[in-house]
Amino acid sequence: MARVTIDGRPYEVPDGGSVLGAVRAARVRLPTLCHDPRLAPSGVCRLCLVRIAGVARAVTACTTPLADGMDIVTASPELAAARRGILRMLAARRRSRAALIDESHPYIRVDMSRCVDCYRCVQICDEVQGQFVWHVRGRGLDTRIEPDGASLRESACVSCGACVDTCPTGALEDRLGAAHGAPDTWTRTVCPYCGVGCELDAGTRDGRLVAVRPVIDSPVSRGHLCVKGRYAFDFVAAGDRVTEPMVRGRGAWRTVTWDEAYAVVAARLGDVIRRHGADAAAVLTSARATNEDNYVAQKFARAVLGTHNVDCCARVCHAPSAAALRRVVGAGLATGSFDDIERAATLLVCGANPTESHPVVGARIKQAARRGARLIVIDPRRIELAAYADLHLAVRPGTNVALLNAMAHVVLAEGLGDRAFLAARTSGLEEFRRFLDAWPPSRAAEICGVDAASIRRAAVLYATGAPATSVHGLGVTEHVQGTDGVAALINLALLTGNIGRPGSGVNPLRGQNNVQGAAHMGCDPGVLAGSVPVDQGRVAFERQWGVALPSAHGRTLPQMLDGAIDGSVRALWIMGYDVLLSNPDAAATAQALAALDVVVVQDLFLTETARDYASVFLPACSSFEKDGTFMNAERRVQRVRAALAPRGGSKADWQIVCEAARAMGAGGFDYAGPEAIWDEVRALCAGARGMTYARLDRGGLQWPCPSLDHPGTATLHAETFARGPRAVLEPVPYRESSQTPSTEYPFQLITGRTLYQFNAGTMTGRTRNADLRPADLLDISPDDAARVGVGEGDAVRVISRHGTAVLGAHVDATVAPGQLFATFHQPAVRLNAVTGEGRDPVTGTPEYKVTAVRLEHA
Amino acid sequence: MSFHPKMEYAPARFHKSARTLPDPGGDFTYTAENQAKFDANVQRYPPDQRKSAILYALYLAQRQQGFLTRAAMAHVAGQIRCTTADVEDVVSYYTMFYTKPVGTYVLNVCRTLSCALLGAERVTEAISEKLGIKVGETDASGMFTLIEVECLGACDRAPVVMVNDDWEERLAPEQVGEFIDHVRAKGRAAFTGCHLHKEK
Repeated sequence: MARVTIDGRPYEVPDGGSVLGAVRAARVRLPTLCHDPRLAPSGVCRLCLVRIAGVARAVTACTTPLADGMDIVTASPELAAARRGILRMLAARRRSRAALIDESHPYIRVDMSRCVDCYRCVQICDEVQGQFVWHVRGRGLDTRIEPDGASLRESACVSCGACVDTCPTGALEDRLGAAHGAPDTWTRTVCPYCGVGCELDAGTRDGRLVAVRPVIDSPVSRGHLCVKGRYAFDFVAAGDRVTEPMVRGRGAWRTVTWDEAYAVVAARLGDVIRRHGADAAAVLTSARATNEDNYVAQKFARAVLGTHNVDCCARVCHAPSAAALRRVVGAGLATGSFDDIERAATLLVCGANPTESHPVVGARIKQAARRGARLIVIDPRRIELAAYADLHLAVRPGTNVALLNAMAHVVLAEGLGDRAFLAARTSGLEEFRRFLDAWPPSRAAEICGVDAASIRRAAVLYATGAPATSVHGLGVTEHVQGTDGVAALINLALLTGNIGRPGSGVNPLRGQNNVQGAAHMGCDPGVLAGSVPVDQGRVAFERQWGVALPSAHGRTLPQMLDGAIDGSVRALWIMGYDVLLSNPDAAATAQALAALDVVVVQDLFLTETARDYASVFLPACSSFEKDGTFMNAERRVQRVRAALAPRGGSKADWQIVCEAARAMGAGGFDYAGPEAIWDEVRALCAGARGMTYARLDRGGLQWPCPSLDHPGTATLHAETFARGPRAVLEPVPYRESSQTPSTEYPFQLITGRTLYQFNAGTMTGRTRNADLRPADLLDISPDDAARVGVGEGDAVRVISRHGTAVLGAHVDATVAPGQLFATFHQPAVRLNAVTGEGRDPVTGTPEYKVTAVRLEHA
Repeated sequence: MSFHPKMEYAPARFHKSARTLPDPGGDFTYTAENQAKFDANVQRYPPDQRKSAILYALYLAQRQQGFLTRAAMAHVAGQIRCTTADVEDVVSYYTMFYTKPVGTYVLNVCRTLSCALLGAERVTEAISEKLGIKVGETDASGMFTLIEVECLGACDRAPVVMVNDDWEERLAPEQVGEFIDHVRAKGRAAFTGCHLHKEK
């Protein structure tokens, strides 16, 4: 602490930082225009002038470092006159010039007649987002701020809204909600989209969600958001929200009361179980529902229906990450934290496109690279981060394992491994070394389409730049070698000692806000809440729940659909998940759903799955309308809080499940609220014991947090692995995908996400994001486009062995020849008609990332 | 995919006046000679400080084409390895980079203190009258452009006019007409030259 005097009164303020920081800490008012805690102080507005004893002239408080014993004067007639003079100059400048007005963007209105040249928009676009959209042009009186294109819409803007958030005057303004007036209540909650889990403040007025703003002190987002979190919230009030339960009879929907709906559900599920046994029923839960919702749903499956047939959409994304991490190091969780991005000297981004799919983390990686961290990108496409990378390995789709094995080969062959770590904390090195002898870079180069020298360089960069952390996405997991790919990444980390210390780690970037949580709450046929295998947790859970757990193994999501086709599964309860659009090989999915006797869908909207196949529809409310917790990709459990009352008759998912359970005569489902459910989770899971709602209130806590005084765990496996003292280096043989190009199907199609849309488009499709990205596109390399005769915007038919889809072409040099990339968000396109039946043998995760296709003009 | 009513988006516009975007221009690449000059110049800077060569890169482009189009700025951006927008920023700051075509001779009249006291304003008026143009314009023949600039550093020889890269010193308003006629007739040979050269 530093002792300072401010306006004659003594204060004790935190050390370091600026004089402005000290003044603010002392809660003394001092005007600023250009200050924002997210930005480097620039001192351009000159309003925070103060006098410091011993300094000859007035100085700006924001750019003056604080020193112990300073005597600071913030208010005097001299300072007031100086400030008035500065304001007068600002006003004169504003009057003197022409001002840009730009209404080209759906979310941001620009009216530079209100601009005071504080440059906060320019700075935040550079220093936080890294997009460089706002530029300072001209000089002197003619200085003006302009976007880098002819209009904001045509600029490089990624619509994150950071400039609007920082603008002190309203020169940049949110357009959404402007008609309804400023919010009168702000509720802190967590973003409803990706697994980064940014906290946000939801602004409401008259029962309407009118604005969202980022949370400056959030440990995850650090005052930043992306276009989805910041602006794509209108789906909450979409006109086609279903708000009353419905039952289908003879093809037509009939609105019913909740009691009637529960009675129908109870009768029909009861009927299936009576006739075909409990294992004929199955429950699919949602990675966008809270931990409480998911916990209750798997309890419902196991304790009420009596089956382990419970799974969630983690199955189609990061189940391989969880499986590999559980197998090798003992916990199916990211080993580090997002803060490791800033601590790492080397970042390895493998099979992920964070700037589009996890934009806030993407921005953090970009800024880390700009500050000088080494960045290695392994991705078939030249993604945005590749431009900031030291090295981009454009690996052929489906060949990650070969590439990572060759990198491991280089590490061992050149003696770059961490000898102490290998000796103390791993086993199986000799066998592993023998296996890797067969994987020189020259062999991988042929398979992966990357030259051997680059593979070697990547290995050297990763192994010599400690600490090194890796983040990976679905480009690693959604392959027939998904689990193996993650295991190969872990091997690389083990060889170089990059697990268990700050700045290192193997960190899956989770796709949805609660993928980590849903799977961790036991929505997986093989594990119970807390990720405890069924056999290990049986006794404790049976005691807590007061029922005997089923003994038969449960089915994973793909196995449930297989079971539907062969008649062994008859009833499916789907919570917040559009199975038909999300799952691969849509024709097979449709066949499975059509074969079921009972389909209960619990969702906000009549999704494609519900519209075509549901027998009962139970309207759920959005995460803006309920309380609970989400667990993000870095294992951080954060509080979700209701900003709105549930729309119409809709209810929270946990409430629907509990009421249905009670209607079926089950006990143990009379929770007073989400906190009571969470307390049951805490009682059952040692890792959650210290996470009371009260402790989670600000910023959340990272799992595990075993006691009430535990600070949460930023880095796992620090001293010993969760599985024991040593991790086994496991040889991972490479297997070729069956989707290799052939003369009949010469292209390899990769599917993925765009910045503006999210998965099945259920939410983002109902927002103005749809104006920014109106349709799914097929990206094709310029060479292939010329060869096949496809022009920009042409409609093309993509044909695989499984089905076809028609979408517009986009000629894009970031895609390699022979490859295609398409997004999968548009219900009308239904791209998953094309993707195939390939699965990772360990987890059943579909092979979305590579499908052999051919093209035709549509 | 949108479930929203259609929304009209207005284009960007300037209040009070039009926003002037740089002329897109036709294809632009350095001549082989200019490329060689740039390649030699950029060697003076460390590889990670390539941006430092931006002024010279722009100067070459302007020398080649007379003014800077967006295509020229994009070419410079490619040479420097930055965005076109970054180049536009720099161009917008410097008064000696032109974004519109200029005459063969650009008359830069200094209007800072010493020149102003010794009648710079009347020099501007005399040029203006002689050529029938206002400040910032080019005359009908395409030969002369009139621009006002800040201090040229020749205060002891005020009022001064810089014609392209050469100073015309102690240019009295009444000599302006004659000077312009001479330049029209004899080109560069009409320049009287800087006293520093003459006194050497």
